[in-house]
Amino acid sequence: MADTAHPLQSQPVASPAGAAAAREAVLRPAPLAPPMLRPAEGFWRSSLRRLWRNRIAMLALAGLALIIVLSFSAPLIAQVRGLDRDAMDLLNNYQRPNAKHWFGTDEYGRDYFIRLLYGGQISIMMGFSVALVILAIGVPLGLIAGYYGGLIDDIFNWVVQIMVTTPTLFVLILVAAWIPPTPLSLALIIGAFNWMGNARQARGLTMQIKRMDYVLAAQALGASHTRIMVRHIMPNILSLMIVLAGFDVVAGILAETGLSFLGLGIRPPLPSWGNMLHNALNYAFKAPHLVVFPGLAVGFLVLCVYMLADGLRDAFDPRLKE
Amino acid sequence: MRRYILRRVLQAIPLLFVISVIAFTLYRIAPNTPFRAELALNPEATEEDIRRLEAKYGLDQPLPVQYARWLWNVLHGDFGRSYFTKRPVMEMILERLPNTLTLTVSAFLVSLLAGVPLGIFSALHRNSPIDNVLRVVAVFVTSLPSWWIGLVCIIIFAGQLRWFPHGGVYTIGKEWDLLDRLHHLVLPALVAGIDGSIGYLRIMRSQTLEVLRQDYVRTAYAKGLSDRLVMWRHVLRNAFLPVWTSFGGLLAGLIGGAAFFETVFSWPGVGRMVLEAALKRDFPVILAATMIGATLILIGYLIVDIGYAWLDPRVRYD
Repeated sequence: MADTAHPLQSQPVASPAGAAAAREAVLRPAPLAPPMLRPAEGFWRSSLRRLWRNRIAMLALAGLALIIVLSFSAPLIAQVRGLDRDAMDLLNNYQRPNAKHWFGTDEYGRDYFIRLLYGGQISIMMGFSVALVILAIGVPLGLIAGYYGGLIDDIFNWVVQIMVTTPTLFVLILVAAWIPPTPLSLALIIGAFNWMGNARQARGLTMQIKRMDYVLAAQALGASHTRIMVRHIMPNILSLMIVLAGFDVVAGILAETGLSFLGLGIRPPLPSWGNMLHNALNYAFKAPHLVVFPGLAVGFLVLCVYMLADGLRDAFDPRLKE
Repeated sequence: MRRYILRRVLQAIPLLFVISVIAFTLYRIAPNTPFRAELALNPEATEEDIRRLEAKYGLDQPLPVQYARWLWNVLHGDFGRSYFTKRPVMEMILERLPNTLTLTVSAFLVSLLAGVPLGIFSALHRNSPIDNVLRVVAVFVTSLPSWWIGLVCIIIFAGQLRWFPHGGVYTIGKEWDLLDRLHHLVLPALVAGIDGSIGYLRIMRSQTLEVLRQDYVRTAYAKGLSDRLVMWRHVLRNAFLPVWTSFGGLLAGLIGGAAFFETVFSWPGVGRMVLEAALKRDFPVILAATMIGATLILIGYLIVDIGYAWLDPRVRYD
């Protein structure tokens, strides 16, 4: 048995022809069934799947959707229930919540539920537009400072330090006192004083990413600075920025409510939750429901956005988890 | 250390200078002077009257001249007079600053005394029912504006239960009664301390958990140190560092947020004064308050950095 050395040939065979067939079969194994591989999942897809599986985040999303739908169908709801945002009814003012006026009435007898829904429009718009403003300022500044470094970075840090040291509210008060406060101007003002956190994060991440091999490769290929920043770095800081934007929405909602509460934000008769609270300050003991409902509304909206932002963070970047 | 402090103080000067330029410019690019806004409501006032008033306060001068004049006076300790009360601004602020600082410092202490122990407790009893309750409560409470919680507290504890006064610093006629002042302080301090407490609870909890995983803690246990000694000497001292770092931010927030709590609790502090001044465009008052606020915030950050070196021997400034 000269060929016992090879284990494949060690089994006894019936005939030379059969041996040849067996050897053939062993040496060239039948093709395997195609492997049951899922197609590789992209970053966005897998993140969204993680988000979808997060029950609290989905609940928050549902809550947020409910508030958005209710707020923006306020005119419809008012019409169906035969009420109006501004219709006064002085004989029925300060009513406690009842069947006709679900959240009671204010000092002019206006239906508080309808006004609250209209106020929700302002809060939602403010939240998202403030987040947009913050992104629009913070991302480019952070990107440029982190990418170029050196003197530009020093200037960036200096500006951030000034902004952080300034008692922001005093300056906000100052500006809000002379710019007519519309939702748009308020969003711009609030955003202009709250971009520092995002910009710092964008800067930090950019400094990490610019040392990556693919950035080096892009540089070697002769890509311009702008192209590297926009095409190679920005997509990689985008997920972090989306996560932070969620928390900026919260900041925007709270800032509008706060400024309007101080009497510097949205002006009546346009109702916002903040100016409703400002107004309720005078009737706090007489009609506590005027204080309670707008505050709870703010709390509910903020809670939903906050939990959703939390879910986004866990889905997009689990490392950021506390 | 002395050199470090000196350097930090010197660095603060250009910072304050830029802040003053920004604040000054922001105000002065406003379309109307305060007198125009005020007198627009007065049919008796003529254009000439307004011009005369503006000239009296130097508002007719070019912006750089106005700024230089203001800066010169400030460097001589004079922040000017209020356009409306005609009193020296510094006097008005110094009169109200103690109230704001009392509230700020008390809120600070509340945050520290409530947040840090709760955070440690949460970390040591991780995932226990109390830890879970605390975390849920923290999420709900941070979703509500804390000044709104203050309003509700006033309605309940001052309006319904009558345990605490509705607001103010003292009962009229009892100006020197310490107990009366404390009685007025309890509710505002607790409410203003809410945000800080929750912030500290979170930081302290995550930091304690982090430190407990470190090798040096295992070593400490392995060499037979008692639980108490390990906790005090190795865990809490290290876990406390980030809490200390966030002091500066909390202080800035409390100074900036003073207007809210002072409005809710009728607290006669600087925040409310600035608010009223802003609505009337009483420029010297706002500017002075902004500068003093910025200085306080800078001092706060400096204290944090000095304390950091003291708490953490690895940090040395030279």
